[in-house]
Amino acid sequence: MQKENQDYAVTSDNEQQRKKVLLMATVPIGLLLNHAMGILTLYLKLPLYLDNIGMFLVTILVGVPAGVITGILSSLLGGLLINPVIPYYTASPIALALVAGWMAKKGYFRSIPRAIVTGILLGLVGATCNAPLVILFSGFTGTCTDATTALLLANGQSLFTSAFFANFVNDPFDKIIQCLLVVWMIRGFPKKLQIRFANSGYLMRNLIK
Amino acid sequence: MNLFASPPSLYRGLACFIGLFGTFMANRLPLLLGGLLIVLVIMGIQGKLREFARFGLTVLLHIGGALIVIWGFVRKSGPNGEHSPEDGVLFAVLTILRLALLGAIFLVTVLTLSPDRLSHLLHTFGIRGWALAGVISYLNLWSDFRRNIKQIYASRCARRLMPDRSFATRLRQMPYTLRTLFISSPMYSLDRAQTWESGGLIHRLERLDKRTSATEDSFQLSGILLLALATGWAITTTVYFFKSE
Repeated sequence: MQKENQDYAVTSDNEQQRKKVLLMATVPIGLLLNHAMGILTLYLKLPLYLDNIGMFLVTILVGVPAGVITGILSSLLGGLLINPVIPYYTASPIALALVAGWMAKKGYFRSIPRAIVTGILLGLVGATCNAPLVILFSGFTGTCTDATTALLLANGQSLFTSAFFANFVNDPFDKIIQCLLVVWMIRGFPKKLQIRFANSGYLMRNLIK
Repeated sequence: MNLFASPPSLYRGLACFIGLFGTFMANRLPLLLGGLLIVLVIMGIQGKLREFARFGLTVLLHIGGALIVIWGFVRKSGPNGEHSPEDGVLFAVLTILRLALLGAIFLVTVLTLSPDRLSHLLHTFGIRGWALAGVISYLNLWSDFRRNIKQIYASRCARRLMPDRSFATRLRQMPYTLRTLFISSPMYSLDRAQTWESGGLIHRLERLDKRTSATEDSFQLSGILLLALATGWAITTTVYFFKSE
């Protein structure tokens, strides 16, 4: 009985250690992907954000809590390294990680049509979270929604309508592209890597057998 | 004595939060201009003006231009229905100044930290253990990322999949580079994390942190001064905010 308990304790310790290693490995990669894509779109002035791609990947690989942590850290560090406006959008990645985790659990990153559905849903969630904050910055944040907001403001729409509508137009497109990129990435994972994430997140549910 | 050279991490963090709160409450042009001027002076002492100029050129300039054109010349009114182009321009200028101050406060309080102090600051605010290791790992990953990109180009050149290394060729090769990079990075990262875990990095990190806080050579006075300035700023802007309400 005592030996059995000892074995259980060792297994539980190993499991915890394995989880820690996975988190230590994936969170920095998630942050790096988020910021690399964020910087790329900021400097090239692309009409996209693409700065949640790492968070979606971490959510699929390790699970929702890791995705939420990546989202929060990404926003905070993004404020320091990319654009000081980013930390004020922290609520959005939290909501996005929760929804992405739910969709990944149901296997909605398995095929392109499913990824598009996920992207639309994530886009709507992101837009709902972001729009009130865009208003706080008078409609301009140095991101891709600025052009749409400006166009609507120039046409006499109110700041609230312009910011809200601009987000609902841009966000779903942005999230669809991010989801497709994530599908493209996880499909390219070598077998060796797939095995290492087999028991942690939702990777296996989202790979075509 | 350089007063703003190395305030303690905790004071920096608190000053940053209080300063940001004050900036959001500031709704008058002279207040924002005064605040920015003070932060610019501190930045000058810290030698961080060049970084701020870069932020101004890459982020503020085009946002500012767009804001002034839209609110001052297209809408010709403020967001609350004031019907004059001057009100529109004033609103745009207020927003730009607020954004400039947000960036400047981050720069003065947090971005002047050395990497070991940054770990101390994060530790102070509750980011510990593997999460702290993750952040530190992330800060060091950029150089790995650049090295990996070079390796990918070298291997593609060697396999004659890339004719030369000109900018145009590298741009055309981007999809292949990114995929290889994104797929190989988790692999490297997993191996690294395993090495760290087996080498007891987290425990060492805790020890390093204790040592950093114990031997912190920062000037307590500079921290108090920074905190006092931030608090003064927040109180002033809050008073004016409620006065104008």
